[in-house]
Amino acid sequence: MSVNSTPLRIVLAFLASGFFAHGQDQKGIEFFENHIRPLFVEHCYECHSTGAKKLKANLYLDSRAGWQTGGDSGPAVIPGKPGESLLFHAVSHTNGDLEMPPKTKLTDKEIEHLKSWIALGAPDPREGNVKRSTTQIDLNKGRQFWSFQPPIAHSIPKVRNTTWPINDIDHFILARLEDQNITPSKNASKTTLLRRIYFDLIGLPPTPDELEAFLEDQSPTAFQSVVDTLLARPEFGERWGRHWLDVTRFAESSGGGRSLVFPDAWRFRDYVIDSFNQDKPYHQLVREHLAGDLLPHSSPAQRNSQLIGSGYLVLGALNYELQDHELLKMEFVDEQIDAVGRTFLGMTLGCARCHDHKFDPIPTSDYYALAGIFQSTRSMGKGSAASGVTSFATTPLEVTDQAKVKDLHNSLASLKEQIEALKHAPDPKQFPGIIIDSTDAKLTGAWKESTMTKPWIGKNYLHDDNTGKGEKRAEFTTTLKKARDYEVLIAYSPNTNRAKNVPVTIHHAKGETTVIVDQSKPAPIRGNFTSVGSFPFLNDKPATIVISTEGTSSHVIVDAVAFIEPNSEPSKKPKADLKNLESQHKSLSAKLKKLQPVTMAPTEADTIADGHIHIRGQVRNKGDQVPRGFITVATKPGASTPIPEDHSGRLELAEWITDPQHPLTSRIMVNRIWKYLLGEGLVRTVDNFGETGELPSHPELLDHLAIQFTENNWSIKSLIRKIVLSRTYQLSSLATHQKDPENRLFGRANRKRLEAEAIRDTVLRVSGNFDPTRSGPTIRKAGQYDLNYKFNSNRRSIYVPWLRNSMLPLFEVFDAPNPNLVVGRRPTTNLPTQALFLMNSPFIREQSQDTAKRLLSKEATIDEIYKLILSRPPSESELASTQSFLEIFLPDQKEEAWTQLAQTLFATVDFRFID
Amino acid sequence: MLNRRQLLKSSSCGFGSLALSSLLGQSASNPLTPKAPVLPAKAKRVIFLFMAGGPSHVDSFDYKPELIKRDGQSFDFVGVRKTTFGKKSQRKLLKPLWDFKQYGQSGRWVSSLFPHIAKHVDDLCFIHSMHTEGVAHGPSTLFLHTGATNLVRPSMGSWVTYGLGTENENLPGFVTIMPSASKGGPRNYSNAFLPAIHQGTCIGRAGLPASKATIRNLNNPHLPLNSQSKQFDFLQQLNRQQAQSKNDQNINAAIESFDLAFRMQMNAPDILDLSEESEATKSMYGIGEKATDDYGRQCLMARRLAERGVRFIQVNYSDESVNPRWDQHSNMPKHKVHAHATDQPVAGLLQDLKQRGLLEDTLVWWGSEFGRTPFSQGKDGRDHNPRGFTTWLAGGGTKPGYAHGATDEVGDTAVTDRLHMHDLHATMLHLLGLDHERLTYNYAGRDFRLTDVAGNVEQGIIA
Repeated sequence: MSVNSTPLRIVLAFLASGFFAHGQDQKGIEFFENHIRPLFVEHCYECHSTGAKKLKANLYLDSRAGWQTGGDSGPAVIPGKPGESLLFHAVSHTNGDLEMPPKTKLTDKEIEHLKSWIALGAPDPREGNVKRSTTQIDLNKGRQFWSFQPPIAHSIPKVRNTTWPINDIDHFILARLEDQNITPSKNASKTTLLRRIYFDLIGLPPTPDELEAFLEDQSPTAFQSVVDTLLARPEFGERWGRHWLDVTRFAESSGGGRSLVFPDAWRFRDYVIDSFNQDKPYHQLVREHLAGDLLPHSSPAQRNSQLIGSGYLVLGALNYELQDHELLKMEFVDEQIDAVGRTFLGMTLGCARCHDHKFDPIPTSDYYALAGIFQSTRSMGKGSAASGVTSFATTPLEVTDQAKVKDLHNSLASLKEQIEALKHAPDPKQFPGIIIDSTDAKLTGAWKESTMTKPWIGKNYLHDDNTGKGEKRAEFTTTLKKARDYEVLIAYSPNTNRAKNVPVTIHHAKGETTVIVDQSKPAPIRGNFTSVGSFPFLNDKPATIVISTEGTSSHVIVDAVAFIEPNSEPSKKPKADLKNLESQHKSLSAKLKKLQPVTMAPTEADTIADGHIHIRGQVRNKGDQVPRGFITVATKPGASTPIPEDHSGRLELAEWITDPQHPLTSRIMVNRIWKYLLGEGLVRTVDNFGETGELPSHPELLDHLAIQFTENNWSIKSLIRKIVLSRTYQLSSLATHQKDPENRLFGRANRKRLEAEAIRDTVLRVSGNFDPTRSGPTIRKAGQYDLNYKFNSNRRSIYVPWLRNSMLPLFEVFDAPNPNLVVGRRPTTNLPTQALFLMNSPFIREQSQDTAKRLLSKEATIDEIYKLILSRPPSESELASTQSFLEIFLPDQKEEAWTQLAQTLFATVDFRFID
Repeated sequence: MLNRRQLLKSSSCGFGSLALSSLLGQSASNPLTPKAPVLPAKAKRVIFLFMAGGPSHVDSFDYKPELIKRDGQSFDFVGVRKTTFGKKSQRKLLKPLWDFKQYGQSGRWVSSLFPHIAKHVDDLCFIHSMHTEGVAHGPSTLFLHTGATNLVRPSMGSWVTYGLGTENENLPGFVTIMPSASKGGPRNYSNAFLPAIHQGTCIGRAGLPASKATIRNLNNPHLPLNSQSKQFDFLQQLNRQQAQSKNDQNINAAIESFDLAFRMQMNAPDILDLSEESEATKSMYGIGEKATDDYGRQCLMARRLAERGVRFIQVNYSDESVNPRWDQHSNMPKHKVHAHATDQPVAGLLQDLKQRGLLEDTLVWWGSEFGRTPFSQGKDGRDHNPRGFTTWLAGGGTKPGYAHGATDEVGDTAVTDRLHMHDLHATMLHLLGLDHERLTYNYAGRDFRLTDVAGNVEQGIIA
């Protein structure tokens, strides 16, 4: 720090900083020197001075200019105003997000000193400037990066070996290979090719019959017709839908601490499968994901489908248990931005939450421009106040059978009424006597109906409103069956504000008796009744009970009167009927729920507004407001359209992303498809096209395919068809030379790993236990949370519940994607847990045993079991090894022998890899 | 019939010479090869005794005479839960339910909840000024394990094996004994974006008896080992035939992973088998006594794994319920049950590690996601307290018989030498010879750390 000590400079500095007026006098300086400077040196300089090992929050407290300019959160001290000074709040711990010093709170005295010092005008003689690093992101330079420039059309390269290419893809590939003097591998054998195309397009192996048919078909279009058949099969959507679910980080529970089950997430899964089967144009899929709830529609079915598609935005992993609601909302927004960035754009936008992106030209303001869009979107439901766990957002789907729904609503309402009545009233059938409800009483004066205080009989009880004392009365009259003594009961809902001296007059065989009832006391019989005594009644004369308000000074209640035979015990509750009604109600509600489905979906928020930058990513530390918008570097200069005031901006975001000129969208998707088919992407970092990602191996081919993709109405099936019909796709995976060891030039096929789902589906198919049911909800008895879910389904893997904190062990072991993350490229490991699973898990053992039983009952041969499991006959040496293995077993151990054979084949490398 | 050991010696599968590196396919270097720490390491491994649910510090290790004096008096409290966030309320202070006494030469205070652990205070390093993030179990438990309440991050054990590798190739580097599926469940031992090999391996799970705890699929329930070894030979024969012409590293790795798996199958069960331990040792851990059998077995297993070079061993005292074990919102007296179940096993572990010379380079960590409030909830419960609580460390280069930091006079908030969970993570990594700012992994375009952008090494607790 350089200190200039000429008196004039000091004076100027004081003038400039406005201290002169606030009394930068000797006393103030003394106070600073005695109390404040030592405090700063001892407690603050370690992190907030030019000598700090690592400056924190860009705040200097070793010069006046330091706290004047302040750090990331702005000026630290407002002279004269302790209450507005961040520094004071930080040291007095009034703000939970900012408590300083971090380790030990200052003493009350020290805090008092700081307060006085600020109140004094913060006199501070320390000179020095604040060094500010002002690295600005250069957007124009950023736009030069290859992935931020729109795809450019390239002419198809010329090749020397003109007979090799089948389509234009092969020209791009061969031209590069010829450049490097690399001879591509030969075509794959028909057997290999068939297994490859089956797994690639439908995720299942060919059956032995399909294999035979293909081998017999010698026509030049044999392969093409297999491709077309497979593209049209419903299993295509199940295979490619699963890829898309990886990329959309789909799951059926929230993850986090208490992992909430999403009972309707299956609709999104089915929607994705359908979309791929229908070859929904990719730009339409993207629009539905981002704004399906806002898109126009021409039918309820279309509206529902689009709405389900928008579930993409709310299916992410989130800890709904976070109690800091402001933070929770921002975490949700962050998840959405991060997912959108990776799924569609291959950008790591999350980095810009706390500071400008360190590698890519994405300033924090871009992040919060996007944040404004999602902050203006309602993505969460209310949840439970009791557990403090927030819930996910749902929207009702359009109902097809309106009349039925109305009917059900009516029946439910009437059931509810009956249940309520039963809950509050004794069942006359089970009540050992007669009840007369207030509805049957003869009333004098104005009585009010009420259900404020439980319990009551029938629909409600009456009260006198504490007015018109003496004028109001209620008369209950009935004729009893027998001439004999009855005990008379009076029902009321007790409360402290009730009259303590309600006169009840009983007109009986021997005259009349008046009994005083204290309605402020609990009713001793069943909570409803109190006895006023037993009286003789005749069966040819009416029995009358009169409740009066005479002489009372608080509320008088009239609910019911009952006559019971003396010494009979009024039963507790009419349980049987109630149970019956309640179960009816439950089943009707379930029916109604089915007819009135909901789906996870966002809606526009009540308040639509631009967001603020959150300094250092902290929720309550707000900086400038940023207009809602998109990623600047990927937008043509001047081409930005403002978002209308009453739109969150999701619709506009969807339009921006699906603009055919967008430099990223089409390239990302084309590259993903290429990766799924060829094993590696043209850009191998499929989820990252930024500075830290890899460069494309064939940039021209990538552009060529991207442009064709958009021009071809973003058709995914056409693109897949084109790629698999190229020679490049159909090459053998055997390397014939040492050049290009990583196969970046695609001179041979990449050997691919059979994924977890394909392993499981094939095993189930081979064992004969495969359940072919498609679509629909699959979580049994969906509880509130997903822990320890018991899996027992033999359906195709895509239909197995996909739970963030409770994965099917097989999926976990065989590298299924972490559903908390966007995964365009699954990890492929060789952990011993996989081997242990194949050797020892009950699942593999049981399926192998069923395979053995099934095959032995058909007297199958070794040839057949190889074809069934490996989609090819055994080699000679395999046949010999297999025969000698089977010979180890005694004749009566045939099932065990074949069980072990099937299990062994499931564990072989030829099963686990696709050549 | 051959037993595992004989098989191990006689098998033709080429055990022993195998390098794990080849199992990982992509790279030639083995991510689990022991790595030299970047800093001088005082600890080689960690045993984390996880007390799920939040044991009360003011009833156990944080002695507060003021709290006893002010029992029943009202106390100003600022809410931290969703519905009470930032709101002030008055609460009634509740004195500890157990008496405190001073122990050892260091004179540390321990309540009558932990009479066995109390005997070891001269080996313990108490941190009374812990504070953390989150207030519900899920977020705070995730923060404890991964340094994040919501974002998906690797567990500390994964970071440690990523940084240091493992010393025993036949065993996983990071194990968690009887973890709960609740409160984040697998997220708490997940590798997240780190390579899968750093995922925690479960031994048993919460809710089942420890005597049955084992690694999933480690044994074949249908085949005796000698039959299985014939099947295994057949498999590898086919595999080699299939791999012959392909010359593919990945395929070779897959084949070799079977060798390793088979080797694990023969080795690991012995390690988990406690029958070869002496009766004296078992009773030291409380094994055989109903109350202490489970946690005693878990602790003894931890010692056996530590001896064999496992890097990070988590010993869970947890269950699967909505309110984890130590979560006494009502009925604080129930703490006694949990203290009783863990006290002797933990003390036994400390004593055993010490007498075997293992405590020196084993960092023992006893702690929870948070502590409990000094005021009462309901009649006789206490609520969660992330703002101040106690954790203790032992061995591995920590100061023995030492107490670091303090909460305020009633034990509500950490005020002196506060140690955030990030700081604790940073300090433990430091003891293991890792620099928490340099232990990074590049994922999705940026470098990630266990301590995010925070955390300071606390020199004060290092011997």
